This record gives sequence, structure tokens and C-alpha cells, in this order.
Amino acid sequence: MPVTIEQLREIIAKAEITEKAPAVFDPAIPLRQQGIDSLDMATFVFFIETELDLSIPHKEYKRLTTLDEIATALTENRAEWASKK
Amino acid sequence: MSTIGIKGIGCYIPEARANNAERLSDFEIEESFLIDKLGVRQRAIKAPGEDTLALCLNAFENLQSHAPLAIDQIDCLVVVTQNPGIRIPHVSARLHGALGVGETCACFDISLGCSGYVYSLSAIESFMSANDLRNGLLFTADPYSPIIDAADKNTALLFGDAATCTHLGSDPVFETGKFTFGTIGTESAELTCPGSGSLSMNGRAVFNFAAKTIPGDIRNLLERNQTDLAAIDRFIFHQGSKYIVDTLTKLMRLDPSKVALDILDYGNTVSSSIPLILAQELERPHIRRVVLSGFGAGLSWASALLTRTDPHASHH
Repeated sequence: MPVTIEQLREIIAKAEITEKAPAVFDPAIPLRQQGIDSLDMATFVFFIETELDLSIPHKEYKRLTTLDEIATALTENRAEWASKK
Repeated sequence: MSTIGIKGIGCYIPEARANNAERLSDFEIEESFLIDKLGVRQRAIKAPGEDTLALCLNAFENLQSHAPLAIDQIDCLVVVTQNPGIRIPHVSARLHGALGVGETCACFDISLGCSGYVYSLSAIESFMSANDLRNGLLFTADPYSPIIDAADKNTALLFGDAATCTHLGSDPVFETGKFTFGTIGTESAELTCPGSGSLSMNGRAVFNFAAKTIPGDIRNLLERNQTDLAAIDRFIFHQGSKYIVDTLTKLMRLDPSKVALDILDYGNTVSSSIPLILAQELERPHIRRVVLSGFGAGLSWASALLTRTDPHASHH
């Protein structure tokens, strides 16, 4: 089952990492350029892992910069990353 | 013999500071990130010739200045450090010699990082109770400034040097309840320092560890001690960064006014971060129940519940 941008936006809201509305984040632009710093990014990914019950390897984590990239990576690797937990 | 607990805490923070604002362009960060996220404006830095032993002696001197203890009454000395300076002998033996404590005083070091104070509090209390010892001193002194790579953005802006000295004995201000402990040794490589190298930290891994482990551990701690979050006056988490303290506060839905934060002007002082804050709480009589939780290298953690004793009860 694909992970959607809408799901990721819901997780942004749950993680309470920004005062901006999740809908304003452009999925194609790196989150860092939209005000999400490295610590907020770690929290966002922590919440993704908790919500989806998986663990994103550190190498992959470093490559993920946009919501589009995150959604694609999760959709493609969800089963593999879940099994590593 | 009456219960052993915390009677007083001496603190020492070196005067010299490294100003993090001078590093903003090096790491392409803004001042708001320093203050609002890391929470560290400046870091305490020990003098070049000031070793771990000297830090301990300064913390002891501070204890003596407000809660004097006769040297010949000390029968247990424990030092928590992973940066002893000299590997052999243990710091506590050198400290024993420097203070001139009697020969029958028990001395040993404990190798733990940010979980070290809480772990060692249980170790020294149990050791003292089992052997009828009366006055123990628990030191924390883990100077990180010599092992930090100034170019490493994961560690360069966080750590400060400090030391503390906790006096344990009967008729304490705070008694401890049951503790909780843990280790995830499979992740030990996420926070390491090889023999002659610099500290290396996978910030995301350490963050994930704390965020995943500590809220559940605190729940276990409170259950073990048959109490709940609402009964706690103060939460003192290891001051890894403002961000991790804020994250734990949010994850556990704690009242932020009950959560201690004090690293802005000296940094993350490893095993000293909790006792530096606890020393302030000793002087606040309305703070009756305190939760401590230390977490870090190992990856390891330990949590404790402290309860203020009734000042009148100790005389009966």
C-alpha cells in the first residue's frame, strides 16, 4: 500500500515540529528549505517510524529531503524496513 | 541503620566559556537554532592543566563551603567518569590521597556516561547499606572538551565541563525509591570514543533511543514505586540538549513548568547534568518528589524516584 503525501502531512501535525499548517509544505522542495531543521527532521522521521511501525536505515535517512522522496522510499521499502525492526 | 540518601551536593563549573555564537557560520546555523533547539549559548571549558581529579576537588570544596563534612568521617568515595585522564590508578584512589581520607575508606570508579549519576546513586547507596558505611561521596567528572573534534557539527556545540560531589548518608534530604536501568548494547557504536580519537555520535540514533525508551521507562519507574505522573513535582532529565528535554516533555505530555532545563550557559555536562540541577532542588522545600532520568553512552539509561524526607521525622 502506497504511503501518501497526505499521510505524511498528518504525521507532521502529530509530531508538532512546526507551527505552519502541514498543507503548506511543497512535496517537491527539501523540507530544510521550508523551515524544518535537522532536529525537527529527526523528530518527523521518528514519528513516521512510530506510526508506520518500521525503522529507516541511517544511510537512507540521509538521502531523504523532500516529502515526495520520503513517500516514495516508504512505499518502495516499507516491507523491508518493517522487517528490520 | 537508617536509610541512606542524599544529604548535599557540591558543584563546580569552570569559569572559562566557549561562545557558540562564534561558530554559527561554520555550521550554517542561526542563533535561534542554538538557543531554541540546542539550548546551549556557551560551553564551560576547563583550564588546560585542570584534570579530572582537580575538577573533583573543586566540587568537594564547594560542598565543604555550604555543608561541611569532616574528612575522617568519609568512608566511601566513588567517581563516575569515562575521562579519568590517567588510566591507572583509578581517580577515586588519587582523590583519596589528595583529600587525606582514612585508609579504611572504600574507593572505586564507575565507567558510565550520561546515565552514570543515576546508576551510581543506586550502586553507592546499596554498597553503603550492605556494609554499614556512614558517609559516602559520589563524584561525577567527565570532561569532554579534550575529546571533542571542533569541526564535528554533531558534538562541537553541545558539551561542557563540570563536576559534582554528592554526600550520601543517614538523615538525608532526599531518599530514593526503586530504580530502573537498561542497556541496548547492540547500539553501543552510536556514541563512542576510541582510545586516541574524538567523540563520535550518531545524533539521530541517540535521539531515537531516548525518545523511544525514556517515556516507557518513566512509566515503569512510577509503577514500581506505586505512584503516578501527577504526584511528581520535578522531572530532571539528562540535559543532552534542550531539544531532547522538550521532546520528552511533549511525548509524555508533562507540564513544562515541572521539567528542569539548565544548560544554556554551560552545556551538556554528561554525568554532572542531573546533580547540577538536583543541587538547586535541594534548597526548594516545596519540591517533594523528583524523577531523575539519565541516558546516553551504552546506549544505557537509569531512572530514579526521589522523595524529600520530613525534616521533623528524622529527630524521632
